[in-house]
Amino acid sequence: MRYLIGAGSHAASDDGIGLRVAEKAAVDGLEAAHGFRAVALRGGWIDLLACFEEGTERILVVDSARMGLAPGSVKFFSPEEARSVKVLGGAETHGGDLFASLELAKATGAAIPPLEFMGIEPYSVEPGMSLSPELEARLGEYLSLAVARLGSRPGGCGACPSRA
Amino acid sequence: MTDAKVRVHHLTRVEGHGNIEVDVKDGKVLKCEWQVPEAPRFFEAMVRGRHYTEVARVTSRICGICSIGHTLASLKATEAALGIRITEQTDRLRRLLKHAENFDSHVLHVYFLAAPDLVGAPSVLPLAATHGDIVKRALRLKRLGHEWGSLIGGRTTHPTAAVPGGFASLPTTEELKALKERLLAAVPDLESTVATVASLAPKIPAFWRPTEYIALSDKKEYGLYDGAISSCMPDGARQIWPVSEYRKVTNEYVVPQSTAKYTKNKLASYAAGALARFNNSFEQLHPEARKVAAALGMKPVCGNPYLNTAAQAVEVVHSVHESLRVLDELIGKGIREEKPVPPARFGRGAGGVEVPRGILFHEYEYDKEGLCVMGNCIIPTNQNHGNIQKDFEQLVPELVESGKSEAEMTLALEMLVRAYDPCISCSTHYLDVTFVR
Repeated sequence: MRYLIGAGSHAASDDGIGLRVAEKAAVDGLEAAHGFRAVALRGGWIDLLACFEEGTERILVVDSARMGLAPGSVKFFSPEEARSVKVLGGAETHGGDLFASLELAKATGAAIPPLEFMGIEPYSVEPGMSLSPELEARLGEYLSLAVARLGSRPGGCGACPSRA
Repeated sequence: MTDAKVRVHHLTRVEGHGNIEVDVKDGKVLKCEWQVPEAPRFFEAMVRGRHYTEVARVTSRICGICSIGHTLASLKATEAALGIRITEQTDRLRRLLKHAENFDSHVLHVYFLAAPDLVGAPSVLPLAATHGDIVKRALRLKRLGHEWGSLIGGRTTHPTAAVPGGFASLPTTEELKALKERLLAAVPDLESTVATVASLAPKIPAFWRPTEYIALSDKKEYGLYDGAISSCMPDGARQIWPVSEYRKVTNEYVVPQSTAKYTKNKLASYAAGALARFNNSFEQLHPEARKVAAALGMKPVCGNPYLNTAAQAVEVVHSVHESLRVLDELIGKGIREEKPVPPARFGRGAGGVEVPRGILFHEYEYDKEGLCVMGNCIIPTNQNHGNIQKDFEQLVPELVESGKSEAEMTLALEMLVRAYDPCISCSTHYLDVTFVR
């Protein structure tokens, strides 16, 4: 199984970009066509660990990321290539981030499947239920990049429910 | 202790942003506040002009943790407004979905948010080294809850399968059989969970305040998915209102220290949540859950807010055993394809469900085109803010009187707020990274 994980919050403008990409993948019917499962994680970073199962080939996590790049920029990186500098209160559902879930997985001895982040530099993470117009306009482009990165497998895996 | 100053800004291990501020001078409490500074999010305005088929999709986004509950409350309000009577199969599937959300959220709270306080850890992360088996068990149960909700709801976060009048997509009978096997397989983990909570119970503070508890009360079963509004007073006295009269119970008002509205009914505040449900519907708990309550030394009417976490553990067991019963009914009859029931009229209606943190109300009015012209949502965390404040006002003088240090006082107040499992709103989740190569 390959996973396209969208992380973030719909309530904080461009922080919702990962969720929107995962949701669009499901709505557009790309899961069966490309053989992956799209999952939207909102607040439930611990649920990322549910994808760490035997048979998981690859995980791509799409998330809003402050990387010091121009807003709208995309960068793919592995967990080893970056470290979180976010000030966290601990392993919380909302105060934590996906790096915390990896830390927890390592601490429990869980096998971490090949995982990569697709960071999208936000314009704004202020309270707001909509993406910035710039990111909204590029949603399809981001989804295409994510699907290409996961690797296309025409015909689908046949076992992937069309759910995000 | 005669002087103390507690400043907890952005309390950790709760959902959203809340502050604690306490000032004590010469043994006298000068200030004692639970503050909620978050901005309102205007969902009620966002649903105006939306078609009835879209409203639940919008309001499910009020919360990522309770998105199933917001979906169900929204659907029930819309169906009340549109004169829709759902089928028995839909009713059972929704009850199963509701159990999934409460199970998932309670596991998260008991293990990941509350337990660290009881073992003196800052978070669950260090517990992986010291209590690895317990953390692994927590992750197994969390995964079960996540996948259980995904199966029935289409996806856990912002479920898509539940729609006005029924379900857009249904699980198969075979999938339900597989879910039943998974729930049965989880029973040993539940037993271990109860043992863990029981071992930590002596560390739960012995605080008691006479409190009014508000929860749904359902003639059919322990109130979660449906029922009337029930008040349980400290002496056990009860009163019932139909959900359509929720404003008579909630009586929202504003206070200077909070951007969130407060509520009150018969007393100066009331509590919602697992403990409120426990106090209102104890007799309808599954017998296995009542055994857990006995093992934890709990019986109604329980006025210790710290035991809300223990009540959640009771409900975790209830949800699994009750869901096994619902699954047997669904599997016995087999899943039938059903089209969602269409509207019979367009008007106004209210719906209530119990989300993990307590009773949740949605109300809408639709015009003859099926477009929403009015929306109102009252979430349980807002209903609890006033009660947290009243708890503080009794607890702080007790802590001062007993000579607790500032650090001890801070921990006691943080634990109290966390016991309510507040979900103030959704803060940002973005990554903030620096590259190392």
